[in-house]
Amino acid sequence: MANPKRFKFSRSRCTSVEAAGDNLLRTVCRLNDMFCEMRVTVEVQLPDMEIKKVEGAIERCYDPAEHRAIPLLPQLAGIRVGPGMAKIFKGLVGEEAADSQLLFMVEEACHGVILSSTKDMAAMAPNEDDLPAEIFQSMAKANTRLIGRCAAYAPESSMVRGALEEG
Amino acid sequence: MLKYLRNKTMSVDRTAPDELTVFGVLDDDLYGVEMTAVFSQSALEILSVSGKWHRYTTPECPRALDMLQPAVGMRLEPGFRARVAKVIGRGACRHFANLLLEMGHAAKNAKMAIEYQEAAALDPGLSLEAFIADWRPDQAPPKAAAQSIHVKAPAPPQPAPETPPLADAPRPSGGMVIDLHVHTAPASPCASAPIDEIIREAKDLGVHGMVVTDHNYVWTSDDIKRLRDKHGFLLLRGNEVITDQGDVLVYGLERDIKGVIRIADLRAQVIEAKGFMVMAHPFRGFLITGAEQMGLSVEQAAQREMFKHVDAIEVLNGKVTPDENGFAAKVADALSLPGTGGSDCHEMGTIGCYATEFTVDINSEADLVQALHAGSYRPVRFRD
Repeated sequence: MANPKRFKFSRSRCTSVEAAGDNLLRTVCRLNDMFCEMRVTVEVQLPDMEIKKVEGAIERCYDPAEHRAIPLLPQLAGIRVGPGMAKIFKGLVGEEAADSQLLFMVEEACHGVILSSTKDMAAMAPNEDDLPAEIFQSMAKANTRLIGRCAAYAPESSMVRGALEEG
Repeated sequence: MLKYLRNKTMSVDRTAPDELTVFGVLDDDLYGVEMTAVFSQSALEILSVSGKWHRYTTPECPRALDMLQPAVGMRLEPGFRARVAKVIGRGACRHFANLLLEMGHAAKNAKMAIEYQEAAALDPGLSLEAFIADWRPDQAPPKAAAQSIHVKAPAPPQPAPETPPLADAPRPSGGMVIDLHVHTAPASPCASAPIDEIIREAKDLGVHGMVVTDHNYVWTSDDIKRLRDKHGFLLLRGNEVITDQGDVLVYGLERDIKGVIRIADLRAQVIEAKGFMVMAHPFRGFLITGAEQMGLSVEQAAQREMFKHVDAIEVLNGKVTPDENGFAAKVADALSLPGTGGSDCHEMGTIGCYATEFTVDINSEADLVQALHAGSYRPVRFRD
């Protein structure tokens, strides 16, 4: 029997977003570990961020639940990428695939689209060190849904405290 | 050309007979974080956790590191994902939460791999497929008492602050003001305020009535009557239904809809019941994600499938930004659809920030649906 101390388990997941022409983004999430090698491809139409196409592919996977999830993924077309999408995904594919890794990969791929937009916005900002606190405070004030969303936007954070005092 | 790339790598070592140490890295164009978490192999419980930032976007992001400890004591069991999202995602950082979820899944698979190796040593003919088919991660021994000293109670969720009112939203002018979008606890899992307290607050404010629109939950008419009598307050029933096109407020459909329904199917049911459908917060979170920079026009937005199936659009919602409300109002105008207002209240202190003013008296759910169909209303800003 193998020495338990020599045990090693590794996993990598990569999510990429590329422009696929004519206001179309193609986002791909790939997962590779000891038990599986799978890929999900999602095409998202801009500016409406509507999912046009979802495809799953399994190179290697021992979990039959993942194989059952594959034909359910295309029905996610038509959903808009944004808040609340995860519960819609789960509801549409049903219990059989709601906890599948492939569905989580669809979500990861769609988050990649959102983060690619954030990256575009962040690229327009000056160097972080140069940004005065007021900029973050005004962001919090303009988007109060951010407040309480994470530690950076907690009510006691300087970014939020200033915004609330100002408001 | 590639616009964005995120890599996550997990590495799991067996550092003691019942310990799996997971090292995880998340790295993308915006964020760089790493975490180390020790899980018990038997119960897949987090015994310790630590994190480190490499790259972040705001000067306050480092605060997240102090907020990771409530993860200690969490187990990979049903609800793990929701707990991590709520406690670590909201209390610390959603990117750390994302990484921790990945690490938890890696720990579970590592446990499975170890147990397969052990089983295969005893039964060399055992295939991985056959082993996985019977394997359950929850076949774990009871939680060891000694481990409980690590457990910390999760931080209570922070109530969301009130959205600043849209400055140019109209004020009530003497009509009957009803909040058409209210959530209560425990009927809506995401809400924190009990219905009795919300009613008291609404009465104190001077709101004339409210409609409980708990997520996929139908109040009984007996419960509503009892609350109306108890408080002497106009309480009506609605529902916020999750559809493939987003959340829809439904009035006049007394049916318990579970899960997600196609909006066209919901429409058919509502028409049959002669009810009324309002697209709730149609652009929630949309303008904040940068879609505005992509050049979405009102005309393009108005083409969305969702608007073909509703009678009205919620143009004043207390949980979205003034820009998102303003954009919804422009789309409603473009489509010549009426607009409604509602607080989308989930906690105390938010009821009635927006509401709908009716020009006719409303005393029942039938009156409400009739007035909605007649168009005898307008959205208003009620509370500062």
